[in-house]
Amino acid sequence: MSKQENSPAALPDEVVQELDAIAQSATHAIDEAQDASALEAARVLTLGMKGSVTRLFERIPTLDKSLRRAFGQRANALRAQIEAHHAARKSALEREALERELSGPKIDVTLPGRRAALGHRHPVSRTLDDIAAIFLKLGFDIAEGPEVELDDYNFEALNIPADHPARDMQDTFWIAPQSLGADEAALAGKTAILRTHTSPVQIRTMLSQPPPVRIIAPGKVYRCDSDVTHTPMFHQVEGLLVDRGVTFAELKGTLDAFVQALFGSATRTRFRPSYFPFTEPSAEIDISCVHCGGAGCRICKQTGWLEILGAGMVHPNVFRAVNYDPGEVSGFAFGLGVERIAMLRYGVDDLRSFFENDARFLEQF
Amino acid sequence: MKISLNWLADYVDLPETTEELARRITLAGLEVEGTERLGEGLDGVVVAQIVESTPHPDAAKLSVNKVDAGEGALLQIVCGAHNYRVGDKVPLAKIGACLPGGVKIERARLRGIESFGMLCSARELGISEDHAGLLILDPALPVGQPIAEALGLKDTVFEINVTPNRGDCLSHIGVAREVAALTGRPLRLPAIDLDEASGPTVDALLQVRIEAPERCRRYAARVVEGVKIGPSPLWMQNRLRAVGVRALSNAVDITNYVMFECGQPLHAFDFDKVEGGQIVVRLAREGERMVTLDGKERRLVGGDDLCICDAVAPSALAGVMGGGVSEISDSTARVLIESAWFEPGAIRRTARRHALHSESSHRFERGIDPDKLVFAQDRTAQLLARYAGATILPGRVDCCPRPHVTRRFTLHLDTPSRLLGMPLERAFVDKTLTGLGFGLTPNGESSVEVAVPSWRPDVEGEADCVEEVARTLGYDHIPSELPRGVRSLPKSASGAALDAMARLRSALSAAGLDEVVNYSFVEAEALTHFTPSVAPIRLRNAIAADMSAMCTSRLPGLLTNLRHSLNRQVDAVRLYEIGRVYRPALSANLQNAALADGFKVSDERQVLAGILFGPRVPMQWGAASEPVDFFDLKGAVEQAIGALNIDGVHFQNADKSFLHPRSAAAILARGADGQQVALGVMGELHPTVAEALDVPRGVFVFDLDLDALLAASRLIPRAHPIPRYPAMLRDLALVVDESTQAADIEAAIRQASALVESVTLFDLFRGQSVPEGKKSLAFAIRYRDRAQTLNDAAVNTAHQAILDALKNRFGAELR
Repeated sequence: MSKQENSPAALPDEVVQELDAIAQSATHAIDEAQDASALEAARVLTLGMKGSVTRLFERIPTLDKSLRRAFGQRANALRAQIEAHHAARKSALEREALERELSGPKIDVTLPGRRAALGHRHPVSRTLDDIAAIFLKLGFDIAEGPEVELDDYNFEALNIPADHPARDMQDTFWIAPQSLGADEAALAGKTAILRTHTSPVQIRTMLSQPPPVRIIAPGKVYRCDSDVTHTPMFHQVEGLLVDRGVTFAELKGTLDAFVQALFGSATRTRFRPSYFPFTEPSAEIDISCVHCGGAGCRICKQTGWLEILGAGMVHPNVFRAVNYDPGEVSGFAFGLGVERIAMLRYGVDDLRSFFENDARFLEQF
Repeated sequence: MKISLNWLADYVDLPETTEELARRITLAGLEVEGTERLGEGLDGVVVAQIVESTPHPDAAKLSVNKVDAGEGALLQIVCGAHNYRVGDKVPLAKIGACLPGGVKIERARLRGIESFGMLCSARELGISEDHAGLLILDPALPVGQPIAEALGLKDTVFEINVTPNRGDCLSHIGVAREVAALTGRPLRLPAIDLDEASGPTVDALLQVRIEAPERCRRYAARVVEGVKIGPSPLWMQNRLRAVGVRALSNAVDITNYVMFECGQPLHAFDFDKVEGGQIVVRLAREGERMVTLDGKERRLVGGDDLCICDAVAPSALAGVMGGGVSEISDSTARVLIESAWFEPGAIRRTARRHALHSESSHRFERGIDPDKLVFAQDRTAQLLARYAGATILPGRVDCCPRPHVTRRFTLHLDTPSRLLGMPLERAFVDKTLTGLGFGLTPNGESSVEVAVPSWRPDVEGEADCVEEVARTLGYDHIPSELPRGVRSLPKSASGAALDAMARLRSALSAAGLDEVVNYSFVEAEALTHFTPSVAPIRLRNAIAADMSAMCTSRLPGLLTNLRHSLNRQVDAVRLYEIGRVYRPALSANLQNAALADGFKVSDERQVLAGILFGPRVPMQWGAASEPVDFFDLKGAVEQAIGALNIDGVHFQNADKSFLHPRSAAAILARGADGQQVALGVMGELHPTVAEALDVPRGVFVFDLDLDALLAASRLIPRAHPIPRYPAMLRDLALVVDESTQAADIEAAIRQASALVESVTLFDLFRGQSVPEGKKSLAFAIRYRDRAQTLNDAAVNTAHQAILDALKNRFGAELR
């Protein structure tokens, strides 16, 4: 490029004035804009495709060659100046708008939040799960069995023969034989009932597998009894551990661990001799009152103890019924009432409320 | 069983405090459930002697007495009774005393004469029904002695929960034997010394024949004569009252007393009413009837009810209740005392059959001591002689076709410590068992032969001995050990199902459904709407008609919950239940079924059922309260099923009798073998069913087969790489026939081009520009090529291919 070509000719005064006027009016238009849309309109009028600044460049080809460079330079400078001005105005307006928005009236934060209703677990099934979780950690597996049972599994195999007074401990629901499908004769003298405890699952499990056995059997059980402290259906968790050399000491350790996991490590247990036809020795297990800690209160009837479990070493006759050799293996079994535990945990006073399923009760859990 | 500590102390020295006694026996298996203190409320009632008695000047029926209550000065008492004489000792309730009936004694003025207390009858002291006059006391009692002490009314009574295996503890001697064994103190049994009359022995008067020896091991009879029926001594009445038995007459009270003393139920017959001097123990004959003591005529069951008969007819239901004819009455002179052993199971059957649970049947059911029945009989005779003026005829008839055989078995000496998990000294085991009455004979180095005492029919083998040792030791002395470790774990199977259930429940909670637990039995009628072809399993002894059929669907229970809520102004009801449904499944004859077959008579499946009713969202500002519809239901179901990650879940219109025909769907999945798997049904409850079950219209229900859901669940998801190339979105608004289903269009879109990544329906529109019978569906289609960046041309081709396919298949038009 030659030096001569580089030296621009001075622009005529009227052109300079015109450019100044355009600059002035563009600046003015931008300054006048009071909001984003007015500013955008001003931008279109000046920097837009047909804007006053943009159109300056269309004039370049029409100018005398000697003026083109100088005009171009001025026009570019002008455009840069207007663009900068526009950007400054834009950010000023945005700042103002933000300030206005931030300083506006505050929302009513006390209006309720929008939400979908959350559902609730039933306290009994929740307690069942919590109980199961503890025993699963102790290596117990879950076993199931039918609720419509046969006397053979519910009583006979558990060392409770017919006409035994132990049957008084459990009022039984009897199934109408003709409602079982085939004719009554097909029952062949067997009696169908609703299981009165989850213990028949012990029998069915042991019949179906060799030792070792380590199960819990949670589920519904039924007794023909309905008053303030009894419902005709409730839930039990049965436990069974059979292996070589299982001891009463292990039974105690297992239940101690369970009770402390469920009710807290300060909970004490008391094992009392008792009687169940399917265990020998048998025990009832009290825990120190979860309400008063053992000092005596209304919940524990001033005794400081709450009875929550029955247990014992599996009776040799039960082993014989399932073809296990009581000389080879020993085991323990235990059973607990889930509603009783749920009542203690949640402070529920009325057993029957578990089965009324009133929404106002359920939504507390 | 109530145990009077005064009475108990006759047979063994008791520990210092009642609390200690209660603790000791509770921890040995005789749980003390309650303690009652008798003789309280008699403070301020003392023994007083009447020193002077004059008629009341202004009242013919009253007298004015001066009595000595041991206070120095005599007290003036106005009294209305007349059965006493000067010098008699009577109970005086002093001012301030409060009698058991609630009467508070105050200073009073009776027809102008002041009275400083009240002389009392037995009824006023709450010790008997006798209110004929003042209770005249033993002249030997010192004046001023508190009456409770003087009459032996102070007593502590334990309510003991005697478990069914311990029939031997249903008596004071039985409990005393336990206390003696636990404390090591001696047991004192009452001495029997009978003063038999001379003359012919009883067998000259009486024949006993046992025709059912399998039901009656032994039957002993004694006869006493010259019985003077009257009240029994006060101490005996007190003791009977303490154990909850009403005193009647000396003869009856004595048989009761002996039963509570040693556990043997006794029956007293009026011997002069026993026809032919014959006692026959036999099974009832078909159609035989008798009137029992309670005045009811009983129809006996031939061949099973055991009767005690005379030469003519049954005169007692053996071991359960006596008959009206031979009942002891005021005119009874000769009494036959029966002491027998009856077969426990049969007694229980008879007692239950006739709804006659008596103190007697309670004990026979549990097994009484076959070797002590003669003792009990002699004890009864002794007391009748002493307190009813009876003369004991010499001898007895003792018919014993099946003498008791002592049960014996071998106890391995390591068994107790092996089963309990702790070392035990042999001496301790020996001492414990011997102390409880067991006979031990050494049988080599490591075992003994055990002879079981006759009063312990519950002890059958080694395990029972272990319990005897453990409970005497105290369970709290057995160590506590955590269960054995993982090495002995059997194979586990339940982990996955538990995980699935937990996810399902979380998803249902998130969908706003509350879990319920309903009874498994419902009204049979309600089930007919849901499972019309299934006759449900029924209970024979249901608590109520609406709890008589095992549910074949959980929906009736949920609809009952809905009614319950609506009646209590709860308007939004979203509930689910996980439970079983039961169908009869007695298929094979069980004649030869063995226990090991694991036979079942019911088919039990787990279901997940739920209902939705009421507003879609809880009432709140900024959201309209629309009632739920089918798609809320579907959303909840999809959310629940979604938690299980089941392949190929899809919905089809369905026909279900309990669902609205226009708004019912079957929920299906694609099984492993490509077959369709039915997961359940859902929809709006049919209007006629809603009406029949008294619920409003607009109830939406689902009923899912939980076992099928769990089987189809895929808990461990399969990961895909995240796409590396951008997607392109195109909308497609179509007009199609009303009958064209959205899912079919969606499937066709996916099928038409491999570039389709997702299809989302975002609008459904009818009316205005859309012709009658048509609807407009608008889909957003996301295209993506997983191997390269898409270009417009490829998407345009794909989009056009889709449109062509939809035109061909559904006659769809672009809108």
